[in-house]
Amino acid sequence: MVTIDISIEDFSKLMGLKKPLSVEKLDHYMSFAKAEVDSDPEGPDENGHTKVSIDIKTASRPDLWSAEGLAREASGMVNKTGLPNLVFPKSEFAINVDPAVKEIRPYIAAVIAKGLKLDDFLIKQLIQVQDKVDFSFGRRRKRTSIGIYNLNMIESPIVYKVVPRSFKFVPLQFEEEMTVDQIFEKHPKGQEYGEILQRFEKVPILIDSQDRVLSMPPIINSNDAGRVTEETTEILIEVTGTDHEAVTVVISLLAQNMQDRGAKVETVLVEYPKEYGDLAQVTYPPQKPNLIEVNISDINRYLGTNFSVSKMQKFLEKRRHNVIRKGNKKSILVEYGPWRQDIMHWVDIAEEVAIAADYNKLEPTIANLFTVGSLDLSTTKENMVREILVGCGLQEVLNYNLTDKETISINMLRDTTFLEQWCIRLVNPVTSTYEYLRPDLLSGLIRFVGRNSEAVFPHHLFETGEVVVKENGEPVTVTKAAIVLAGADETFETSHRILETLFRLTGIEYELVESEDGRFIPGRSADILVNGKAVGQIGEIHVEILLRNDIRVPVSAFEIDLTKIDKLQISRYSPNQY
Amino acid sequence: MKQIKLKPEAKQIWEAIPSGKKVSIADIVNLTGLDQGTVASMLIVLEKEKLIEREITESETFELTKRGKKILETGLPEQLIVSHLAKSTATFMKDLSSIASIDRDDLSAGIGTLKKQNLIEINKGQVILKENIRPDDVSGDIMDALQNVSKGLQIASDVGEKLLSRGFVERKIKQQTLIQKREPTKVEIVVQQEVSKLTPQMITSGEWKNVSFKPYNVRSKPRQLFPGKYHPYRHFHDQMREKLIALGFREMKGSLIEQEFWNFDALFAPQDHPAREDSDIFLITDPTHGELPREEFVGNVRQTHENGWITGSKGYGYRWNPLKAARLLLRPQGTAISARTLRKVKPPEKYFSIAKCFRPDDIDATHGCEFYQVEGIVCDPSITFRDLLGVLKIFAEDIAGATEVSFRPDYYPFTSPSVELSARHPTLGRIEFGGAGIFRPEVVRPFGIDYPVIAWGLGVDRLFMVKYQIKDIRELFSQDLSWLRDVEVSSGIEVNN
Repeated sequence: MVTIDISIEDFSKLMGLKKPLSVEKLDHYMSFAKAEVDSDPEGPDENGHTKVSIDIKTASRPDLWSAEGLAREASGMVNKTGLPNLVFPKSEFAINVDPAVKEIRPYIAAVIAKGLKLDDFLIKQLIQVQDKVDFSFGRRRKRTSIGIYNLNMIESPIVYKVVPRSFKFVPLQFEEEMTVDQIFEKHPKGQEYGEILQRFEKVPILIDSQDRVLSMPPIINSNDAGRVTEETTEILIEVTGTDHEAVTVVISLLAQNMQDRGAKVETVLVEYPKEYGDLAQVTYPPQKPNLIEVNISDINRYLGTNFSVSKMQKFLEKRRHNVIRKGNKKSILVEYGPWRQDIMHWVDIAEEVAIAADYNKLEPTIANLFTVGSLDLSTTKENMVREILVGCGLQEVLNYNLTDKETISINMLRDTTFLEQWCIRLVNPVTSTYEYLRPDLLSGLIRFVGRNSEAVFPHHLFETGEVVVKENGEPVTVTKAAIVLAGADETFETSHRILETLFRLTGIEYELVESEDGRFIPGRSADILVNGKAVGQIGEIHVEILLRNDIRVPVSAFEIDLTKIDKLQISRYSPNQY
Repeated sequence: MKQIKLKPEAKQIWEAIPSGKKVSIADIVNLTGLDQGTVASMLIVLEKEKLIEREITESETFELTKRGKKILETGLPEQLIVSHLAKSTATFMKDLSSIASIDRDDLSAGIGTLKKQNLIEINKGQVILKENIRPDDVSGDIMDALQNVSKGLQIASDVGEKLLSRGFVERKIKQQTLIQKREPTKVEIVVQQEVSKLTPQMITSGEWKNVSFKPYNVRSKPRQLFPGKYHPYRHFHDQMREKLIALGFREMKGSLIEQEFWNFDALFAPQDHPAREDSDIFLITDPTHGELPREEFVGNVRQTHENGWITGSKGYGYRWNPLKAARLLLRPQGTAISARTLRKVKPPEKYFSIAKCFRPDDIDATHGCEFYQVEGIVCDPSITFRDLLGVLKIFAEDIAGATEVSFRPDYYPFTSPSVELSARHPTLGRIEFGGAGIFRPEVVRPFGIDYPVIAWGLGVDRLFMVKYQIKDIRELFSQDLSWLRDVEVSSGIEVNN
C-alpha cells in the first residue's frame, strides 16, 4: 500500500470538474482506482488547497501514486474515456549510453516538459511521486529511480557513462565538491542508497555536453543542474534502472502526469550501444500503447455476466483503454497505456470490465455447490481435550506464540543450551519481548499465574495450542496441552487426578515414572509415558521458578505433546512436508 | 391412632395450656417463655390440627388519651394547685399558672373542681386554701382510676364517665382471644424437628418425614464460583468453525513456519515484491531454509514467474531464484495453507482455515505481531465473480449478522478481480469485513487447475473486537484472569448486539 497527500481542489481540477468534490464523492471515485481517503481533510490553506491522504492499495500501479494518475483513472468514470494521448513532439535532446553502464545500471529513459508553472505545491507533488515511485515500485531505487533537472542548465547530448570513485562533483544541498566515496560516506542520500553502487569500482554518472554533472544515479543529483525551483519552467526528467520494462513504465507515467499538468511534453532519444542488441535508438516515452487480445465469452463466463461487445468496449474505455474490434466479434484487442505493466493476463482485463461495471451493480449469485463441511480431525481431537479440561473446572487461557527468553528459559531454570537446541529465534524481532517462538505452553501459564496474584486463588488454568519445537534441526509445529493448578492445597496429586481423568476419558493407557526435570521440586515429578514413549511431564513446580515468576503459592502442573499420542491422531506440521 | 406432627414449640404450648381453662395469649407467653410471634404462629398450627379452640370476646374498655398519660405523670391540676397553696397562704389567680406550671385550661378545670368541693375560696383575685389538706386528699379516686386504666384493669363505670368528661380517657372496644385446649382421644402428638440441612442419614432412616426445614434466606448471596470455562476468543473461533462447516467448508491446517514458496511464489508474488522484504516478514535464525518440494509444480511456478509458462500470462521476466523460495519465515498470511491445498483439490470443494499469522508491526491498540486470519477457497469450474460476491454476502449476513453489504475493488497479487467486503454494523456503522478474489491463472495452473478458484479472507480479530467492544487488540490474548472468569459466555459470533 502507498499513501500520498493530495489537494481536493487540485484533484477536482485535474478531473475537469468545476467545483471541488466532497470527501464522500472523492472516496467514491477513489474506489475505482483501488484507493481510499484515509484522513480527515485539512485546510484549505492560504493557497486554497484542502489536504487529504489517499491510500492506494495496488503495489504494481505506480501510475496511481500521484494526484494526476488518480484523476486520470477516476475521470474515466465521469467525462474522459479512452486512452490518453501518447504521441508527443520530438525534442532535439539526446542521451548517449556508454557500454560500461550495462553491468551496473543499464537503462535510461527521459522526457522533457516545457511551459510549467511550478509553485511550491506542484514541486512538492513532483517530489512526492518521485519518492513514492523510487521507494516502492523502484524497490528503494534499486530497480528504478527518477531524476529531475532544470533543462535550461543542460546542453544536449547527455552522456550516461561511468566514472571512477575518485570523481568529484558538488552534490545537491552541499557547497563543495565531494568524491563519490565521500558522498557514500557523508551525504545523507549516499548513506541511504550507497549500497546499491558500493560493490562497483566505477559508478554511473550523467554529464552534459559541457561536462556539467547532472547526477550520479540512483544516489544524488548535482547541486546546480539538479535543482528545481519555482523559477524553473522547463525540466528534464530522467529514469534509470535495471529493468527496461520498469523504466518504461515510470517514464511514461511521468510524461502523462506532465501532460495532465498542461505542460508541453517532448520526447528524448536514447542511443544505446551495440552491446544492447535489439535496443538501439529508443524514443522515450513510448508512443504506442500495449496490446492484449481478449475473448469476450471468456470474460463473460469468468464474471458470470452477459455483456455485449459494445458494452464491454464502453466499460474498457471508461477504464482509459482503447478497444479495437475484430471482424469475428468473439474477441477484441485492448490497447492499454505503457504504464500498465500490471496487465499480464486477460483476467486483468476481466477485472477492468468488472470495475467499470461497478461491483455493487453486479447482482451477487449463490453458487449451487453441494459440499460436505467438516473440521480437521486435529481440531476435533484437540477440542475433545479442551472439553475434558473445562469439565475438570479449568479456565482456558490463550497466550501469544511469540515470547521472550526470560519466560521460556531463565524463569523456568533452563539454560541457553535449551534455547539453542529446542527453540526458534527470530532474525528480526520487533522487540525482545517477542524474540522466540514458544516451545511449550507451561512457561506461559506460569507467567500468567504470576501476573494474576490479585485474582482469587486457587487458579486452575489450561491451554492447548500450537507451539514450535526444533526436531532434528527442523522447525515442527506441534499441538500441546498444559495445565497449572496454583493454590495453597495444590500437590502432585491434584494435577495427577486431572491427567488421570483426561486419559481415562480418552481411553489412553499411560504410566508415570520418576523423572529428574529441573522445573519441578526434586522427587515430586514424573515423565508421562504412553506406549512407552515420553509424551510429557507432571509435577510440583520448583520453588525457585515460583519466586522468579512472583508466585507465592504452590503450583502443580503437567504438559503433554498431544501429537506424540498416536491414538489422538493430531497432526504435526513441518514446512518441508507435503 | 392418628398422628399429629408438631414442631417442638407447638407441642410445648399445647402441653402448657391447663385443661379446661380459658387462657389468653399473654398467659401462654408467660407460661411457655416463648415470644409472642412464635406463640401466635404455633397457635395457628394447633388450631388447624384442632388441638385448641379459639374464642374471641369483645369488651368495652377505656384507654388513656394523650392528656390522660400526661396527668398520670404530673398529677391532676387540682393536686398541683393544692400542693402549691399548702406552702403559701394566698396566690393571685393570674400567677398560679406560672408558679404551679399548669397550663391555662387545666388551671380552670382544677380551680373548678376545688371550688365544687369547697376546698378553696377566692378573695379579690387571690386563691386561699380553706382547709389544711394534702394533695393526695384531692381527687384520689381519679388518679387511682387512671392508674388502673393504664394497667389495663377494669374501672367502675361512674369513674369512667368522670375520666371521659375530663378528656383523660377514651372508650375502646377491645378484642380478646381466649384459648381453650382440646384433648382429642386417639391422637398421638409427635414432635417434628426443624433442620437447616438434609443429610443422607435422614433420607435412609426416614427421619426426613419428622423434620421440618428451616426456611432458607433466599436473598443471601452465595459464595462465588469460578467454573471451567473456554477462553472467549477461542470459543469465538469454535463458533466461526461451526458456521463455516454449516456452509459446507472443510477445515485446513498447516505449519506456523512456512517456506516462502508456499506463502509467496506459489501465490505469484514476484520475488522482489515489497511484501517479501525483511521488514514485512519474520525470518528465523536456524534453520534459515527449508527444502523445496521435488515435484513438477515447482518448475511450473518457476516458469510462470519467468515467462508466464502456459498460463496465458506474460510473467515477470526475471530469473526465479529457488533459494529465495526455500527461505523459511513465520507464516504471514493464511493463504499459504490454501496454496498447499491447491495440490489436492477435486472440485466441487470448499475449504477454510483459522490460521495464526505473524507480521512485524509497531505494537499498539490495533496492531500486534500476531493475529488470526480466517480464510479459504471455493473451487468449481462453474464458479464466477458474481458467485464470489454471493459468498461474501453470505459471510457478512450469516456469519457476522451485518446488513447493507457493499463491495469495492481491492488488490492482492494473487487474485483478479479482487474485492473488499464491507457492511453496516448496527452500532459501529460501516466496517470492513474482509477481502477476496479469484485466484489468478498464474496461481492455479501450476497445480494443474484450469478453472476458477475463489480465495477469501475475513478479519476474525476485528469481528471479535466488535462483538465484545474491545478497543485493544492485545485483549484478545488477555492476561487478566478476573476478566476471563467474569466475561459473559457468548451464544454466537453474530455482532448484532
